[in-house]
Amino acid sequence: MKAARQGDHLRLTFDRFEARLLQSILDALITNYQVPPEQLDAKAAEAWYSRRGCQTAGMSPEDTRDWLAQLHGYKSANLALLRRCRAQLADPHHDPIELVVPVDQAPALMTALNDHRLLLAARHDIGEAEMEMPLRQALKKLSPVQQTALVEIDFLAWIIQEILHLIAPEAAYWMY
Amino acid sequence: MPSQTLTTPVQSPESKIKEAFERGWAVIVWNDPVNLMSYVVFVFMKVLAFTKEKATHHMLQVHYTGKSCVAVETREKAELYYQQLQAHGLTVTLEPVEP
Repeated sequence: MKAARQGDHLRLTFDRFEARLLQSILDALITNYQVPPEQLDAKAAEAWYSRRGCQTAGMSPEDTRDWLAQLHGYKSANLALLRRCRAQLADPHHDPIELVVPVDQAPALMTALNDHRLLLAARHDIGEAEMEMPLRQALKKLSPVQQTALVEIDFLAWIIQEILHLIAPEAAYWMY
Repeated sequence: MPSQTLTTPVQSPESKIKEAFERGWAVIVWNDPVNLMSYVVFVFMKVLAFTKEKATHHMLQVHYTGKSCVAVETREKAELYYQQLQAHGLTVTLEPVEP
């Protein structure tokens, strides 16, 4: 994957394997963003629609429902962007495959990709130990499903870092 | 010990709401193993309008101590921050600040 900024747009270039992987991730995101919070599985709901803050804030059940509905609204608002990205990756006339995103929509794409990382970690019980596991140990200790999830989580981290370098270098290079 | 009957002052719903909105509310961000450190700095800069230095300080506090209080605000503003931070995938709670 390569990323470059050209004026008001980001141009992300993927090889066929990366594009296919990102397509499947976008498909999953598009599906999951349409599911109301109360219909998501418990682990996914905890990752995306945690009620913990509503409880500490003393919100009523009704206010909590409204709160979650608003959060769902934020996610649904990104569906059009995700569908446009998905369509670009499916274009068979480009090789390597390009994804062109307006700079002002890049944060929304980044947040959506990060949402998928959170969802995968929650669904496949990937915590700090698994995230920091060296590759050889991960191949030995983790289930194939967890290994696949870790690959996706890492792949999306790469894309997020590349986008951050282009749109928010101060945050990307926070340690300098 | 002499027993006394104390009358508990009854608080009206209006005064409860007033109290909830007038007291300070802390916006707490909690550590998680998935969000990237750079992404958290970005979110703090974007949502809370922190400088890079302040955002980095709070991100490192979250990372090393498990949580950071990123703002103490009125209920309305604290809820706004809470919602925006949660929408960006951070783990957040709102807690009343004792006067």
